[in-house]
Amino acid sequence: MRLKRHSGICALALSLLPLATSCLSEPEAPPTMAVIDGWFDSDGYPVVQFTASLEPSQQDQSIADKMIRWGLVTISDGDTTIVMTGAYDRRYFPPFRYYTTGMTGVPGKTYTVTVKYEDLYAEASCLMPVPTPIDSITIERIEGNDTLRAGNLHFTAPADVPAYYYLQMRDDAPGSRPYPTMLGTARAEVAGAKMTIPLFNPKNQLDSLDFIPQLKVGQRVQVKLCRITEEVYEFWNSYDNATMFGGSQFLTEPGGGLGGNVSGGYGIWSPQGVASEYIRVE
Amino acid sequence: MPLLCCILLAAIHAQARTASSPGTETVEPTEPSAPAATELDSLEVVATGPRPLREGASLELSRRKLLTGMRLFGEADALKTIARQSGVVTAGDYGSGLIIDGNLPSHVLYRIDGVPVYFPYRFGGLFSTFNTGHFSTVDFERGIHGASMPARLGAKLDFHTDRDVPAQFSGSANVGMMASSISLMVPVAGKWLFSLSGRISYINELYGWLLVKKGSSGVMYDFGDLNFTASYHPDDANRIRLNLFGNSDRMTYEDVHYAMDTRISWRNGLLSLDWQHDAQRFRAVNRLYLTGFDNNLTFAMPQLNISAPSSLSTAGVSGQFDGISLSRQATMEAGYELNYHTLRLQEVNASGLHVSIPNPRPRSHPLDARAYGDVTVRFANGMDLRGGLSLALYANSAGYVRLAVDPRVTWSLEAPLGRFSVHLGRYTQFLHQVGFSQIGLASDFWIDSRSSIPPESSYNLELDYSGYIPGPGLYFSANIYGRRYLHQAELMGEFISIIDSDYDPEVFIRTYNGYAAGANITLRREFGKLTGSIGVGYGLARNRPGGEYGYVRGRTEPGFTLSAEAQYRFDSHWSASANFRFATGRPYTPVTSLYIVGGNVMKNFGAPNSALLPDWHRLDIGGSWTGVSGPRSHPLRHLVSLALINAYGRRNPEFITYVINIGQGVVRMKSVFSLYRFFPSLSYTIFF
Repeated sequence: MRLKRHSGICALALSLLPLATSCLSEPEAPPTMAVIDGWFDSDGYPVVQFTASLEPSQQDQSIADKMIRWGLVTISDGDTTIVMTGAYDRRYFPPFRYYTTGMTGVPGKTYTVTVKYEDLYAEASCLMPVPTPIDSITIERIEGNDTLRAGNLHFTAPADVPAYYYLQMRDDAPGSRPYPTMLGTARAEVAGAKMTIPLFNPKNQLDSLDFIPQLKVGQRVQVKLCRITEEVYEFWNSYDNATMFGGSQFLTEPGGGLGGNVSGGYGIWSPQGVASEYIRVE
Repeated sequence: MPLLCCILLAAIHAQARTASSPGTETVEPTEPSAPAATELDSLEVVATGPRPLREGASLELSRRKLLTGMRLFGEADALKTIARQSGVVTAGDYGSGLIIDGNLPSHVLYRIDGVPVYFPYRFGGLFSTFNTGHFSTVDFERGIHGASMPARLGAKLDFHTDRDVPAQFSGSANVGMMASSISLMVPVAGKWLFSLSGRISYINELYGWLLVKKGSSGVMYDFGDLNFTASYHPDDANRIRLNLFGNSDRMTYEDVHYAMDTRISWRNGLLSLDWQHDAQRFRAVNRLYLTGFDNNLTFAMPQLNISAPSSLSTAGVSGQFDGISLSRQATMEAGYELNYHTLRLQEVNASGLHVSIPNPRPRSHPLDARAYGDVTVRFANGMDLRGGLSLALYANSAGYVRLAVDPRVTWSLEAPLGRFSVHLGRYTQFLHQVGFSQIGLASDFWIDSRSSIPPESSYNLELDYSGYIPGPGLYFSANIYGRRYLHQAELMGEFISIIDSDYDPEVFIRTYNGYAAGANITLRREFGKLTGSIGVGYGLARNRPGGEYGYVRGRTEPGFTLSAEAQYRFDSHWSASANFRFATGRPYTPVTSLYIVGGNVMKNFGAPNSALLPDWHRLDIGGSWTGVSGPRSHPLRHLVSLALINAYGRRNPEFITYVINIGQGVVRMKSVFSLYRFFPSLSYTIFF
């Protein structure tokens, strides 16, 4: 009898608990958004990859399905607006890009890119900073290893600090896609300071081979020192964190997103003052 | 009743020993034939009377109970036992720390003979750093605390070494599948007791071939711990005791695909000296101590190394005065503590990068001083009223000063139906533990309170009931809790920020308020062939991170928990045991969308902890055989324990990740499951 009474009290208490809970609704999946992955080198031509965001799923999500092939992509320098041309390009992933040779990057100008496809629309505007020359790129042997080399890029901070940078690297093959290098961001705060950024390979999830950060003997690459705005720097810094440590089981990603300067979508529009050199690793 | 049983047992034993002891002179019976002497093989004494009721949600675990219970991973462990209670969860199979009723793991206080241990966990959800054989009892005090509770917001686990000097030398040695340990207790001259316990692992040596494969990612882990206690009892009223404790753990994860090793190492160290004096009207214990924790998180790639060591050490003095009689109905408890802390916060080292790491930040040296008093009044009708006040003054080297006034009151009623308690209290905690991981890894570090990170505090209401049902011999307990938290701290930065020239972790720590509420019910049977418990709990933990979010689910929300364990003793040799656990899936922050930039898949996250992993459940089964050998004057007991962890192979997810199939150009969400499926556990223990 006593046990039954106790059981009754317990059941009542437990049944009241759900009423006391504050309701948390399950989050709704956000709508599909436009994604801009674009860059515009000083003295170069703009390139934009226009894709759509993917919804996380336990089912395979095809990246190719998110590739926008019939979008309207425009670029403007404030005076002239040009519609960019879309084309397949196997050297890119996804293998489609928008480009134009009708506009050349001029440092000091602000460039606006817009992308539109069906319900998707996004735009981004950004200043192209004045490039900073590269002083030198040094390649050194690594003790105990004959096939890898340690590289460093050296430059001098400009007078108009603070200045923000990241490195891009691409294979020395015509038209190959440049990628941000691992740990390649830097911030210069003292005018005239000698700066060094280590030269590592880009860390890329799409590589089927194991990642080796150091340069390999025989590697031929173009290295670009890209001066960018602070907002773009913050994006590439977070990108670096996500690619280096995002897959780690020992670190929890801070949440939110990478930021960026795209309005109405995700990604980054990176007009950049570029100084570059071609190197062969020996 | 227990005393009568002992006398009876002694009488039977004496009679049996007299009849069978070698060398005893045999006396020819003069009476008509007396019955032949019977040699007593074994005697089982079953106590049927109830033990005194204590707050139902609290437990006292004895060494014997722990060492003869189910062993997982080959070790008996108090924290694993506590983790099986309703309302207690961990951050998955691999997470460290106990989440009790929605608390953060850093809210739980662990002590060895009154001295705190700051991180007593191992990696991978293994047993703790406490060597069970070294401690006579473990007291788990869940939510109702007196004013003596130090500056922590949550539960308290007190590990006590032996209080008395035993008559003879004893000990145990355990050989398990991951580690071996030994515990020795050596009495000398009836006044000294030396206890030494040590444990060492051999995971890498035995399982290295399985854990680390050439060309693949793998894990290496080794650890050890050591306890030494020396106590001197000059007379019945005094005891002087020295404690030493230390552990060292090192874990390396090699990620071959990304050429990056993750290394975490951590150590605890403790040295204390205490003097207990039993006066006529009170007991006094005064102690001096040093205790500390240091850790290091390292990411290493060829020619590149980033490490962030941290540490916390405390030099302190404390005293407590119990059982001070004020009148026939009233007793008082009072005490003090003074702690001088030294904290080192992530002194980053980076090689292979041409970054100017800032000069090591000055170490912080906060001081906290506390005095407390509790008065308990016993009324004639079985009612107790305990009221107390804890006053703590905190100051750090930057001139930040805080006074914490923490009143606590507990009303209890001992009635035929059981013991009811209602508790109201305020609690304050000056040290926060934060880190880049949400599963409480050893890479987390302690940081002191300061103007941007005030002390954490909570306002607690606890209702507790414990009772005894004589027929079936069942203990029944229930507790309902509600807590309001202020200034809980969390680290929100990106790890890469530590190589910034102006990195300061304080900038990335945010504080928030929240609450936790829930209830737990447990039935427990502690006597007879069949013993065990069944417990059900439900808890919420919510907090308000600010910004675009209102109240969100906390990462420590227990949800629904069900815990059932049973042990059946067939005879004096064989027993079988099982325990089943169910818990609502762990909260996590979901990825709401993915997108591709720079040839990599990037993530956008939703509201913090707004999603739940699939529910977690697991059945562990085991059996043991006990045997006795050796001389009767000092028998050897043998214990062989077998267990199967996750006997039905439930695939419990640990976390969610994303995989990219390059060949097919697809992305898919994937759960990473716990390795603990059909996981055998085997150990042999000898008691001497």
